[in-house]
Amino acid sequence: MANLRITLAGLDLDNPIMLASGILDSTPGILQRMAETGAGALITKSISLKPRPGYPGPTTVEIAPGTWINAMGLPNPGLEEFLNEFPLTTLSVPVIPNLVADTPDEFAKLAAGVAAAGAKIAEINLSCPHPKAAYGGSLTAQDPEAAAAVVAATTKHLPVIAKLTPNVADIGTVAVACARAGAAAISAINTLAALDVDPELERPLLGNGFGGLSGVAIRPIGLRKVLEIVQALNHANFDTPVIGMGGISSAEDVVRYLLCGAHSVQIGTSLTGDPEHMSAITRGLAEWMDRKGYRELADFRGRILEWFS
Amino acid sequence: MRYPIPSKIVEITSATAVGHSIWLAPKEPWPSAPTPGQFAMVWLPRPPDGYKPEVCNTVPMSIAGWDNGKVRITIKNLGPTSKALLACQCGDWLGLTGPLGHGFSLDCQHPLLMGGGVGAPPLLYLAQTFAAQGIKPITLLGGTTENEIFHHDEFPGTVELATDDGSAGHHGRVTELLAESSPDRLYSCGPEPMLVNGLQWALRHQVAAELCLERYMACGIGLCGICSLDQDLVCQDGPVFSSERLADSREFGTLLREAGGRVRQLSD
Repeated sequence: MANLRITLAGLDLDNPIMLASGILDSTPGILQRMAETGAGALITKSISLKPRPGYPGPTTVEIAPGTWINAMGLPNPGLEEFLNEFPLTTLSVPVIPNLVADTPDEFAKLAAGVAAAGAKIAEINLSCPHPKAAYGGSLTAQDPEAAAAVVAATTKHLPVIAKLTPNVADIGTVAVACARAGAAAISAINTLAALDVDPELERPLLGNGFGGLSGVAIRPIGLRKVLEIVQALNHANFDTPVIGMGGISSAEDVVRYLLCGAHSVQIGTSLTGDPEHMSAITRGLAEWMDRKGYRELADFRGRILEWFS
Repeated sequence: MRYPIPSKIVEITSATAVGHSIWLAPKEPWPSAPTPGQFAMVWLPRPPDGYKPEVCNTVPMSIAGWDNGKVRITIKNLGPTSKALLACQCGDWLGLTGPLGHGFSLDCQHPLLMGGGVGAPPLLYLAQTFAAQGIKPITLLGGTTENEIFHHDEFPGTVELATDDGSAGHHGRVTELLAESSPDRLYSCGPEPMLVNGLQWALRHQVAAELCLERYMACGIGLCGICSLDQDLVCQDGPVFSSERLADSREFGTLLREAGGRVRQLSD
């Protein structure tokens, strides 16, 4: 039997497949349902200090089968109501809050808040491509120093996963800066900055205008960015785990990311309308490993790297 | 694909004091008739004359009718976007993502329908679907006053009204009309306190019931989870839920969520 267990910043996970932030994670009830799908961990929607209502619709549109453009606008009830309501410590799988803010100080306040409430690790959203704020998450992970400053400010309170944007010339440099600042892990990729237009209505397809691209079309981009991050971290002598995501819709897609050196993965878009699809992917990974004769994830993790040395 | 298909307003009809009905012709027709109880995300893509761009948004709305590819939606003036939708003219374009969610079951010989407010439109489509199968439904419709009750002259079968001001039918609540009934199933849509009363009546009289719920929706297509009721997604697993399911709910009748997922107690 394949052993899927992993350790992430000292946290033991049953398997390397996590629910990505912003998908099916807006209420305690739906988070409980996702815990029952067999996910290794659940990342919550992005939490900000103050409540955010989200953008006007359309917020999410399927522009080709399995490929989506979205601008939800980071809807959330704010840190205080989140902490009152969300089960950070009582579910059967670890719950990892995702934090979003405009400045390192605000990020630090969020990190302190969730750490005090029992979170063992947090993901920091350095990379959402569509906040309207002048100095928002979109810019942070495009500047290695700014990203490192947020990591340094938050990691005083608890271990953090730095979630990076693919919208940069060299994602490896940003990942190394975050690792050097003490990030417990790097996750990538967030959605790609995008725009789509309806020709009949002659206007942008999303209520917010701009949005982020996700789903099957971005998988090859995610794989390449993860490989670049893994190579850059190796080159700089960091063994920081990399959590891969972008367009994963099957166990084979999970394998693709692990072959590129990902330590674990997150799944979002492909669960739209089918939360229990998570169980099939988790089962499928074990079946693939059994068929291949692999007992541990480490038996095949990073096998693609030799092609790019 | 869950895409807001451009859809032209081809007819405006059935005006009441609080709104009216529109017929939409999607540029690419839906492949088959929707099930009564299903809904669409209705997008106002452009402000009508005299309105600001901020009114543009999507709103989940029940399907009120279907005619050979044309989709009927009934709009009540409940907020800035629905007010602007009511100002749209024939020839204007909206976006329509749907049909979405799970609708009502149709395996019933003696259906009883109970609606209040914007609960009447999906029940009209349900009644018409029953009538097309040769089944005559009984419908109870409630409202503040007669000219705020949608579609009461359009229902096939028997219709009884209840009004708060006594302007038509029974002077009182629509749920008070339930007393005499013994249907195979109760179908209901409308304000949640009315649904709670309907559920209690159905459980007390061991009548199966299906209730169509309303929740704030940010995506409408099962991605964000903000509309969830306990562990179910109202947009995906609902909006129609059985009485068995709702009898066990912790949130039905007590807890709603607003934009951003903020909690509001229903009694507030």
